[in-house]
Amino acid sequence: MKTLNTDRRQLMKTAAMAAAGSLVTGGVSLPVVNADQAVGELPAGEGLSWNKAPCRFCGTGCHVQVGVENGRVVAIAGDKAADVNKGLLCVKGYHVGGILYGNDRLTKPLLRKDGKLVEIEWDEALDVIAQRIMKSPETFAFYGSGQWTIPEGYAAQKFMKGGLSNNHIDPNARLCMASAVTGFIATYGVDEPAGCYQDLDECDVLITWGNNPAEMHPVLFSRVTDRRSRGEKVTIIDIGTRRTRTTDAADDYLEMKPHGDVAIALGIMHLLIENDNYDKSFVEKHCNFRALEAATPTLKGEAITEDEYRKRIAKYTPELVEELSGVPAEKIRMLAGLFANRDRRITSLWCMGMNQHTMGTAVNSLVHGVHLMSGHFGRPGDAPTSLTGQPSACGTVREVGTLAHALPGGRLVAKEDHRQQCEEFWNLRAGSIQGVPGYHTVKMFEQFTKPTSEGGDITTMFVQVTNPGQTLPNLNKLFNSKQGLEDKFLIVSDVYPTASTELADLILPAAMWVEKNGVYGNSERRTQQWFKMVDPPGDARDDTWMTIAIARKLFDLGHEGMKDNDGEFIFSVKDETGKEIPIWEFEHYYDTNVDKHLFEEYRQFTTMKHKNLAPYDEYVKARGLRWPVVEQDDGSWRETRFRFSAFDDPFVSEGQEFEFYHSTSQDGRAQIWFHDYTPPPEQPDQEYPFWLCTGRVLEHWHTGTMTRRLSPLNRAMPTAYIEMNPQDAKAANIRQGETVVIETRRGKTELPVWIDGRGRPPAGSVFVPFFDETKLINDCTLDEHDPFSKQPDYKKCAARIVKKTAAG
Amino acid sequence: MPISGLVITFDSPVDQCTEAIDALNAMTEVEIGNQAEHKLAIVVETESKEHDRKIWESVQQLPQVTDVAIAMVAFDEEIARERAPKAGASCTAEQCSIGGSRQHS
Repeated sequence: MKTLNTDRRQLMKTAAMAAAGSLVTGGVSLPVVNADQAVGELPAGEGLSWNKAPCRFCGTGCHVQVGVENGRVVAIAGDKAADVNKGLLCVKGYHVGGILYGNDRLTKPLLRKDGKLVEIEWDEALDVIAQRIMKSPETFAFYGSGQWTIPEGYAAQKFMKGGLSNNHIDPNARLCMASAVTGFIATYGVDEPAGCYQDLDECDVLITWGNNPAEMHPVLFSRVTDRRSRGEKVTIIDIGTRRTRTTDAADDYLEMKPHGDVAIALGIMHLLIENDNYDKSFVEKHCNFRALEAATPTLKGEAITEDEYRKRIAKYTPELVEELSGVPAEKIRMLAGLFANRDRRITSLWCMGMNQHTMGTAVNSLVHGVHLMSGHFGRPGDAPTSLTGQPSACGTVREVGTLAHALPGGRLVAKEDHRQQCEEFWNLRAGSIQGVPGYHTVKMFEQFTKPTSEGGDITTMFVQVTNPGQTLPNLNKLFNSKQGLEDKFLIVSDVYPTASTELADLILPAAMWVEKNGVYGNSERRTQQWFKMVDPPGDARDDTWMTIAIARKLFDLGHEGMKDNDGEFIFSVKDETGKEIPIWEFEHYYDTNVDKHLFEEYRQFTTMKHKNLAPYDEYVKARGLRWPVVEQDDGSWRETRFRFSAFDDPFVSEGQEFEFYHSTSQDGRAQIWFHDYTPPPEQPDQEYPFWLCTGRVLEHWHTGTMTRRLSPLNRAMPTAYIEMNPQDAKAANIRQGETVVIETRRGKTELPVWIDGRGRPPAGSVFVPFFDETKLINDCTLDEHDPFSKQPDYKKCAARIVKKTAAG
Repeated sequence: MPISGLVITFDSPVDQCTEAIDALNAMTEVEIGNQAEHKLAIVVETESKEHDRKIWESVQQLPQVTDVAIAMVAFDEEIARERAPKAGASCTAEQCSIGGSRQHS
């Protein structure tokens, strides 16, 4: 390894000090203002103005104050008035303003003609799209995102399911939290966490299940570590397949085999029953026992008696769980002992580890079951809580319902009365919405990349605000094989060139973050609004506008679905005089607040599953509000921190302490599920002897399209790598920094080796982050998915490591 | 050749943690930066990752330290040179047609 030259080392030291210093007092590449000065104390100088926005990155939903001068974002401050982050930001958040100003922003529509991309005008781009849809509306698919704003997702949803009568719309959130959705629905009959971030402030024990919040949700994790710094006792137990920065802060680390979480949850419940110290009162009053139907398993399952539950779980002794999970039996007993103690409040946190899992629905349901059975539920600090990785996976995907089977407000396309209700809200002809769910993400891309002659019945795909060319599993099968299929047409709207735009036939330049109005919904049911603050570069435009403009082209071409029952355009917006505002013309798009119109239309759906939202203007005033938000007698709007608990949830019936009012058994009870452990679909063998796990790093957000353009972050983590255990490296004669080839049955990629690095996998296991578009680990991952959520398992497959010289 | 930016959290205001601050000042690999209330920014520069980890562990074990958070790590200088973000002014048709340097197997 060469030695750094002095200048470069000094640069790195300066950047490192700036990054660390920013977490302490502020001051990185953009002029960062100390968080304590935020709100009312920010230095509004000549031409400098401040406004609030949620951070663009993860699902935590931190608020920042954005300083704008001369039409540019020039400063970022943590927002002291925001309950989520109380002025704190992580290192990505401090750099969020810089994401607008990468050198290679897309600024013109680009159409591939004779193999080359050429600049075209927007009108031509819209014509190309509309003509393709008119020709074959049923083979069109829309692939969206948990980074879509709520109005963007709602517009896409209405355009597809209402306008085109086409349910082939699915978001990238299918890849990150679909199993959390199915877990919540199977258990409570309604999606999303009951608790909120206050649980982190009040728990006595925090259990992280395959989760690394120290790096992935650092501001949330700091709420816990800061309590410790104030002298409070908070026990952290990290259950994981590799040591991480979260492990470094943990009191106990339980290293499990991949898939071991299922067995651990079963083992805890076995002991609670065996030792007769589960919360009988809570279970008798508020829970049922449930298991999958033998013939055709569904999320509803079938009722089983407590005795039957006892019989089924009896085999999951600590010793069997040790064998299945690798966690010593006495540690399983320790966990069960913690849950048996109602005096200590326990919060479980999870994210991708439990969701990207072929038993994702099962393990989510089982961990809910552990909390329900032990009564660690519904008090501040007692909560099973899933986190999201994207800023509006909850708001736009789970609430607006942009999944292939869903409608806004928790309604389902498969239910006739739900379709009818939605058609009435949208003023569309009866029967407009189809009753068969569209393709989920993996199936959608299978059908897109399969030749039409072989049954590949998706021919045109519109991708907005996401990067499937890097994030799909098994890329060689699900994305790269699009190459050479002449009748397949890929449209990508994005802000920078990406792994997806490489194969695009039409690229649309998009506005991002504070270049447009927006509304997000974060991990704790908090809906957050912001206004456009600066103009996008060149001809970059809002994604909502793109959807509306395409719809209008179709309207003009005579597509009947783009007209409502009165013959009007389905996205029609009128001014005070009743005159239609041509919002499909970009020069008129901001003549009104289109976001507000769409939000108010969407809001009427939100009462159906008690996810009530307040009027748009209430969110303008707030740093977000947690639904259900209910109007009070004095006209104010009250948010809800703890659902299903009488002390806080206005929808719990009088006289009840807890009520699960969307219970699948329709008796106000939650379901405690039994699922048998089944082994992962692919395991290491002689040919492929390592477990491969993939994930994220502190410095980069998902595919790195934004953070890799921020030089301090990119310098800090410039490349993907493969984490190896020192024993494995020594056995294979692999040195620190050496480039190796990682291969699976699906593909291979080259990576430098980091031995005993930031994360420390056990022997026989390796970890690779997916942020680096030059080293696509998803060429190697598995597209096997959970049977209910259809979410793929990125956390475990079999791989081999080959020295580059040996690989040739 | 690791360079790390770390944030140390103490159980008391930094000014009251003299023993730990003295120990940090004595470490030649450590440079001390900003402080606020219980938090202190430092940069650690070492000759090997093993040494880096030992320093980090030493810092964690100092009196009154409750948490050590990494703000930034310079991982590998050779890679850092090669993998800068894509360059150029606003993306042209030519740049997009070239795309990134993805490897396909």
